[in-house]
Amino acid sequence: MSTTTTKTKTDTIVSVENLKTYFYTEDGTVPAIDGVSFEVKRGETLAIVGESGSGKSVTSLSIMRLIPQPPGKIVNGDIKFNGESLLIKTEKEMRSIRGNRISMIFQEPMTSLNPVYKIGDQISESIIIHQKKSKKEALAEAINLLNLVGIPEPERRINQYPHELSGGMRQRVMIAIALACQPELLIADEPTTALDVTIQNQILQLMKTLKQKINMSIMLITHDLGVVAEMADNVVVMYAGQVVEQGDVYTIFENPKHPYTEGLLKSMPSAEKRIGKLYAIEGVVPNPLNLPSGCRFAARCEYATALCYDEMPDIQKIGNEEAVRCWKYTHRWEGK
Amino acid sequence: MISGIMDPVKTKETVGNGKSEVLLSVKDLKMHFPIKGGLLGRTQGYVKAVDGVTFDIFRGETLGLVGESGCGKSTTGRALLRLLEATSGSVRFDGKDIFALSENDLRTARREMQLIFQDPFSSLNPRLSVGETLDRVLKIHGLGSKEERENRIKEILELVGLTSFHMRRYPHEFSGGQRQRIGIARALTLNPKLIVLDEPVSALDVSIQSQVVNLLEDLQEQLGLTYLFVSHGLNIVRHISDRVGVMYLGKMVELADSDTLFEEPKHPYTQALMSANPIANPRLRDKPKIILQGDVPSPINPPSGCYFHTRCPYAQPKCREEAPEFVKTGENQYVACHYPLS
Repeated sequence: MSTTTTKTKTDTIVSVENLKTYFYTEDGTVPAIDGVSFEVKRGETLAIVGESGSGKSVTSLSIMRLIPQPPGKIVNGDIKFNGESLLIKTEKEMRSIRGNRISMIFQEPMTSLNPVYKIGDQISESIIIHQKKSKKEALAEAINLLNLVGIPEPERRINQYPHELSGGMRQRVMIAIALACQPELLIADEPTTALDVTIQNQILQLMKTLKQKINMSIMLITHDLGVVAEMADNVVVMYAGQVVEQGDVYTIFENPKHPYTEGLLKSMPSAEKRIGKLYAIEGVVPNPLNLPSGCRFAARCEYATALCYDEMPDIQKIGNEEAVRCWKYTHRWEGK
Repeated sequence: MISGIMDPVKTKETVGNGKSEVLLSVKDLKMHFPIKGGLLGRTQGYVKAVDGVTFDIFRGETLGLVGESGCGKSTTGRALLRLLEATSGSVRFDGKDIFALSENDLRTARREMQLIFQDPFSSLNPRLSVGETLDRVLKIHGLGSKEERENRIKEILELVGLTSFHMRRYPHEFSGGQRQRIGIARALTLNPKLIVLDEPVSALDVSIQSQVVNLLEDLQEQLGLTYLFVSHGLNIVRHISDRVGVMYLGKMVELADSDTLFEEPKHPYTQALMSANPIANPRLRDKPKIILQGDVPSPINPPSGCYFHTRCPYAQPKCREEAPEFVKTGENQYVACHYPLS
C-alpha cells in the first residue's frame, strides 16, 4: 500500500557499495563506516538518519572525498557517481565535481561562510570557476540566485558581509551557493539543526520547491525524525557505522523492522498528544574502538538472544525496496 | 551542620502536593542590556532581552518556556535566579523578595533554586572528578563533615542513575547523557525546591533524551521538585510541562495549560510555532502550514505596537499602534493579543 504513493525513480545517481572508512587514531582504529551500501536515485530525497557517532556525516564526506587523510582512509568499497567511480578520480577531477555537480550545505552557516568576503563574491566564485563566466555575469547570476532562495533586496545583499545577515538568511545564502551550478546532487548535512522552527520550516519548504525546479536529488543527513517525515522519499537508518534498516519513508515510520528504528520512533515525544512515560532505549552507543563482535545494537535491544551477541547479522532484503540488519528476520531466529 | 539539607532525601508526602500554591512569582521582569559604543563608551541603546514578563510557578509543577532564539527565555531563567541583575521588576520565591536579598542571604536562598545547563560538558570542570565537583558544592555552602558529604554524594549519584563507582571519574570519561546526569546531581546536591532547566536535553541524541526526561520526571515526583523548563523543542516541552509560556521578543505572548496551548492556541505566534513544528508522520507532510515571513525583528529596536505585527498574518492597523496587554482569557489562559484566535 505504502509504496504506491512513492514514485518509482529508477535512474541511480550515486551508489555507495560496501563502503568502509576507517580512522587510525592513537588509541586504535575507528571503523566510522563499516560496510555501508545505498543508492540515491535521480530526483529523490534520501534521508540518512542516525545519532552522533553513527557515521552519517562521514558517509557524506566520503562521497565528497573530503575525509582528512591521515587519520582517515577509505579502505574498502566504491562510490559511483553516474556510474563512474569517485575513488579513482584525481584531486583536480574531484574539484570539477564538488560545488558543480555535487554540492554540500552544512549545519552551521556562519562557519561555512567566509567572514571577510561579500555575499555576492562568495556566490559568484563557483560560477566563475565552474561555468567560466565573467565576474559581471556571475554577479548578475548571484542576484538571480538570491531571488530564487527568497532573499529580499538581492542587489543590496550582494554587497553585504555574512555577519550582517541573520541565521536563516545565511543558510539561504549557503543554499544559493550550493545551487549556483545546478548540481545533480545536494548533500545537506543537518541543514536546519541550528535554526529556529519557524525558520527551519521556511528552509525546508524552499529546499522542496527548488528540488523540483532544477530536478536534483537531495541526500539529507539528520537526526531529526520530524524533518525526515517532512522531506524524505526513502530513508537509511545508521547505527554504529552500519546501515541497520532502509526503506521508503512510509514503511520506516509505520512498519519499522529493526528494533533500533522501532525504539527511536517510540522514544519521540508526541506532538499530538501527551502520553505517560517516554519510551527509552536503555544504555549507550558502543565504543567505536571496542565494538562487539555480534550485532552492535544487541546490548540495548529488548529482543536480543545469544545469537545476537555471538554473530553479526548481515543486511538483507525483505520486500522490494526494504532491507534490515537483524536476526529476527532470518530463519535462524528462535527468540520471541 | 545546617538543618534540612543533609537530611535524607524527602519524599513527596513530606513536601506536600496540590499544584495551587505559588512557589515563585515574577512581576514585570525587565532585563535590558546596555549597548556601549563610540569614543567615550557611552550607552547608545539597550537590548531589551526581557521586556516586562509576569508569571507564577506553582509548587510541584513544571512550567515550560518556549520561543525562538533571542526571545529572552534563557535570560528570564537567569534573571529570576539573580544570576543576572534585572533592570526592574520583582521576583518572590517562597515568601522571599529575591531582588532585595543581601549577598549572604542570596547564597543561602540559592540552595533552594538551582540551574541545569544545556551543555553538560562545558558546565563541568574537566579537572575535577565527579566526587570533587559535588563535594565543592557542599563545601562552599559549609555543609556537613567529610563523611557526611561523601554519603550525601553517593546518595545523590544513585538518585540520578549513577553509582559511587563514578565518584572518582572525570567528565571526559562520560557520555553526553551521563554528563547531564552529573549536571542534575550537582543541582540536586543542596536539596533545592526549584530547578531552572535551560535546554537540558537539546544537546542529547533522541534515544538518550528520553532517558534523561524520564529521570527528571521521576525525580520531580520523588522529591516534590518544581521545574522551569526552558526549551525550543516543542514536543519535549509539551510532554514534560503542566503549563507552558510562549515568549516572543522579550515578552510573554501566551501562557496556558499544556494541552490547551497546543490544541487551541489563542495567539497567532503560538499557532504559527505549532504549525511549523515538524510532525513525525510522513502522511501529514502535505498538511497546509503557516509559514511566517521574515525574521524575528531586532530587540534593540523592536517594532511599534504589538511586537509580532510585522510577521502576523492577521495584523490590523490597531496592532501597529497599540501594544496589547497580557490578559486572562480563560481558566489558566493568558494571552497578549488584540484579536486572539477563537
